Amino acid sequence: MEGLTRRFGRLTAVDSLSFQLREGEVVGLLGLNGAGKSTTMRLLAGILAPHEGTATLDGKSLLNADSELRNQIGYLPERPPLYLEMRVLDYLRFSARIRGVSLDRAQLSGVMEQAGLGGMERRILGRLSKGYQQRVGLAQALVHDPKLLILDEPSSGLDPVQRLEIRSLLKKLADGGRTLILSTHLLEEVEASCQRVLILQEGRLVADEPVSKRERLSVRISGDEEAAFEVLIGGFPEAERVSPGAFLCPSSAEAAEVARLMAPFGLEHLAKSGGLQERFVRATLGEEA
Amino acid sequence: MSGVLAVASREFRAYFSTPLGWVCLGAWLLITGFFFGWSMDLYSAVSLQTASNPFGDPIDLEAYLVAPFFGNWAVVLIFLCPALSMRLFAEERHSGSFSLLRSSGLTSTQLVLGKYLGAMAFVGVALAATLHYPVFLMRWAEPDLGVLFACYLGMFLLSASFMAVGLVASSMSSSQVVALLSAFAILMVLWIMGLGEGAQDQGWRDWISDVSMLPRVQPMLRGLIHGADVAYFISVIALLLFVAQQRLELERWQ
Repeated sequence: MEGLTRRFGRLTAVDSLSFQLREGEVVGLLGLNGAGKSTTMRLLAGILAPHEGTATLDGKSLLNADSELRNQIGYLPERPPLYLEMRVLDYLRFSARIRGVSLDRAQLSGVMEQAGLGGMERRILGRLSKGYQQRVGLAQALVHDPKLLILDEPSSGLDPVQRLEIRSLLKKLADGGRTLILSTHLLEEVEASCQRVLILQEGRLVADEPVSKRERLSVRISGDEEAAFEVLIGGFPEAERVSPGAFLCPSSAEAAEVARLMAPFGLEHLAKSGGLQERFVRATLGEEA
Repeated sequence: MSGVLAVASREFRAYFSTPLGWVCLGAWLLITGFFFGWSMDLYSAVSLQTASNPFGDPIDLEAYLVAPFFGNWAVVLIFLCPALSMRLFAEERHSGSFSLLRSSGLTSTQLVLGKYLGAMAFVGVALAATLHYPVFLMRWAEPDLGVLFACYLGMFLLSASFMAVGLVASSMSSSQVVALLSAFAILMVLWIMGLGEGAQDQGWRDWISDVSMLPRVQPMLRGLIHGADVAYFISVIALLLFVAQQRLELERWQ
């Protein structure tokens, strides 16, 4: 995406948004409500047209893309796009047919297995639980074997068990080599599933960084910095100096041990830092948070 | 083309998998059955009067039974077509399933054509379900098959135009009720305009006969198929489908 802008009347929902997705990457899109996540997803899926900028896939513009290019993309909106009167198998067959893909029963069963819907071919969509409806939504996004999967809040409205099931499905899909971009409010979902996180605020990209799975201990002292760092690195060789009087220790470090080592140097601050939550709050609410 | 047929096929089946299709079909057969009985009564009464007059000519079956029977269908279609077309886009938007079609790569033109063909297939079934009336007539009398064909063609073209009006109304809204009422209002205006064909002013009368749908179908009820009338209906349908297509396209940009 390059300079993508989308307005609704006077409101600019997405403002000069630029980022790249690398093949096989799993990217999380985070932001507060109204930050522009769903609009970004809908722009990528071709449901909305951008007012400025371009979105390309394999070098071809997604604006007015032909069906062949569109078939490289699978999209699951926040509310699964279901026809509640249809049976699961008929719905998936229809989802494939509108994309010009003809699948036999065995291939459809394969997609259903992939989405955790084995044995549910004849079930009517309107009678499925929300978790299973979400799986059917995921299956329709997979039915044409797309390279890029766009998932808008895939765990929205699900109970904790269903969330874990969907997360496990996403992991399987990511392990299968697909490129995934998912928007969510759940930071643990991003930490569990994504390699990279994009944080949006008021339609603008305010952070684009790898997801670090580890929190680290942040230390600040008022005494002799050189001596303190010598002592710290003696105990924790992975410790880093980040600014005058401030160090970062690996998460494996015991807070009590760090406190004992740093106490003679005027320990002012010792806390866990660097987690996604802290980065998200800093990115969306500013440094003062 | 396969995408259009897939949408049309799902649309057609959806009428039978929800109560709406069955209710509309049942109501259609009930009301047309009532009109058939009423037309038969009318024809019988006039026949008896004529039979009692030794100098009278035998009455015309087409003029006294077929034309009034099919003429009443237009009024029923004004109610039926908006009820059948209201869900086409409005329900998809309301339920969120429209994003499946939108993200599938189908163009707005393909979506409009698929929806329209699916809905017209159901209308075709509704019209075909009335074929027992002409069969009944053929069993007991000798109706002019050409007139019957012209009547069915007229009703098909009229309902196709009404469905296109309903499709446009549905493309403008995410509420089925709004789509139903706006399509019904447009068709009522067209119907009332058709009643004004008997206006005193010649200019007004010419204008009404040019734009209104109902006067165009009157010759067909008498067995006259004019190329200009058929072309009029096809043009109106094409124009309305184009409006619906433009509405969907605009939605991506608005």
